[in-house]
Amino acid sequence: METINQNNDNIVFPDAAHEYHGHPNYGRVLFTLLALLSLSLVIGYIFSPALAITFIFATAVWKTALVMRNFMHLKYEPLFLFIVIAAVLLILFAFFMGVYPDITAVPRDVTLPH
Amino acid sequence: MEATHPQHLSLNIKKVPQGRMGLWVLIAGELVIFGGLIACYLEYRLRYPQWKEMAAHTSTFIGALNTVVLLCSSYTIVRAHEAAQKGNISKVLIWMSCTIAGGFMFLIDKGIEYYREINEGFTFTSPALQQAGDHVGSLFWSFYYIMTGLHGTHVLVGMIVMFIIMMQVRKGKNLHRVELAGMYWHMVDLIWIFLFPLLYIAK
Repeated sequence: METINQNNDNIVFPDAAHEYHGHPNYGRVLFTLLALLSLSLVIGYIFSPALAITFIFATAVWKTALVMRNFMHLKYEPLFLFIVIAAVLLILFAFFMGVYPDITAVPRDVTLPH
Repeated sequence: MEATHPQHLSLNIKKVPQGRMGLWVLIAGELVIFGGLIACYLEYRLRYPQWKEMAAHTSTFIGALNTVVLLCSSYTIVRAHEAAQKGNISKVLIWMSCTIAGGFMFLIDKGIEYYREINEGFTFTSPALQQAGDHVGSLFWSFYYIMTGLHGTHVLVGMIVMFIIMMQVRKGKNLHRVELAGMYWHMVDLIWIFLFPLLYIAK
């Protein structure tokens, strides 16, 4: 079923998409994202590399969650879609662990052929 | 307290519009592609600590500027989606134009950065590094160009798709596609959120 917008008879908007989800405060989300970006840059200069990388990745994960939940409206989606995304992350983790020995177990003095 | 949709935490996917469902599947696929690249990059980075010397040649300023540009363009496209739901075509066109402009700015910045790096001898194969026996350093730049190049291609595709949808919206058609274009654009933004610290901050 479709609805015709009252302001313009040519605009056709499917019902499902029109009433599918609400809108969070996008300005606040953008402000938080920019604040986290600034924090990442400051941390990169202040802390030791290992600590900085840990914090920077933590803020990257936080930013990702903010974008997915608010801009992509994942928080309004059914649980099934969370499971799909979680499955992807699980596959990536399995890939990471599977490839890890191949990359890290190679002796350090190995040179590539010319 | 934020209101949640009644179907939140439900397993029922029948009410998910087909376009959104398709986009989520596409996003899942893209996450595997970029996630695989990022996973390999991380492992090589752990394996070869000397990569940080190569990463020191990337411009943190341009990387940060591009992050701001992408985050702001994510905001503009989501405002376009909001305007589309209200049926306000002129606002949709303005916000989408801002998003495309953001994409242009990103690509111009990236082009400037590539120009600088190529002039310094850092290319996809980096022959100068290879001749000096620094195959590990050369490998860093191969990863760098694959990841940023693939991401840049996605930015370009997003801009083209957005332009096509803008032309349809101008005629009053397919306003619901603004949200779908936005979801794709947010995915491009998400990938950059991880590429930026990997390539530009972790030095």
